Amino acid sequence: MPVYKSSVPDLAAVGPFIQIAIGPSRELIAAFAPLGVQLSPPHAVAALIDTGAHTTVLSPDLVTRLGIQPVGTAPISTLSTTSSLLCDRYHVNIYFEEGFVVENIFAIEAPMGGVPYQCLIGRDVMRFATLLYDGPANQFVLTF
Amino acid sequence: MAGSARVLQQELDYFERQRLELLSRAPGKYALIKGAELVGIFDSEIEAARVGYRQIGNEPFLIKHIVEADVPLVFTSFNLGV
Repeated sequence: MPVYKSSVPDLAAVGPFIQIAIGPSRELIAAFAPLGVQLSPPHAVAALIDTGAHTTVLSPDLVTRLGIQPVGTAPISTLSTTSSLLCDRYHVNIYFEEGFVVENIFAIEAPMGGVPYQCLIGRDVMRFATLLYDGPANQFVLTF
Repeated sequence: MAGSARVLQQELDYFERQRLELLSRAPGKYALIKGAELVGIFDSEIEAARVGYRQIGNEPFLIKHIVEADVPLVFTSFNLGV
């Protein structure tokens, strides 16, 4: 069972972030590998664990670097929108340290709101995990 | 975001034209659409993606849940720039 423990100087200020990599989905890899088609390797990014996010979010820049194409759309609603916005959905794998992978996630593409991250890990991934947020110790533990 | 949504506009328009008919045929399943063509109907999104990648490739295509109305995904944090 993978366990990721992290300590940061001011957890309340920066939030529970983790280094991960995002790459094309297992299904895309499986379809293209036999054909010898080169796909983008996973890209390392800093991701914020965001329990307020329904779904995992990728920044537009990250999507461009991955060279993947949309496989759908989804309307989203945020605290600052008065009507839903349509976002594209992308099919990806999320690589954690020590070889643990969450495969075939349907993430949306949207710009980050001034936070220094390229990915928000949403509740679609967190449904597989336990997050222990220890504010007084400025540390958190993410367990799959 | 808005620009990328336009990439799939033809597929979205096709789905809206066909939504009621698809609802009567396959409620709760997933439609795979490329351009103005229904590629297939599947039990899961993963299955639709698998077929999409194998038949269409790494090109835009639309996987759409066949439901009466699309419910927005809710984001209650301020981490999105929208």
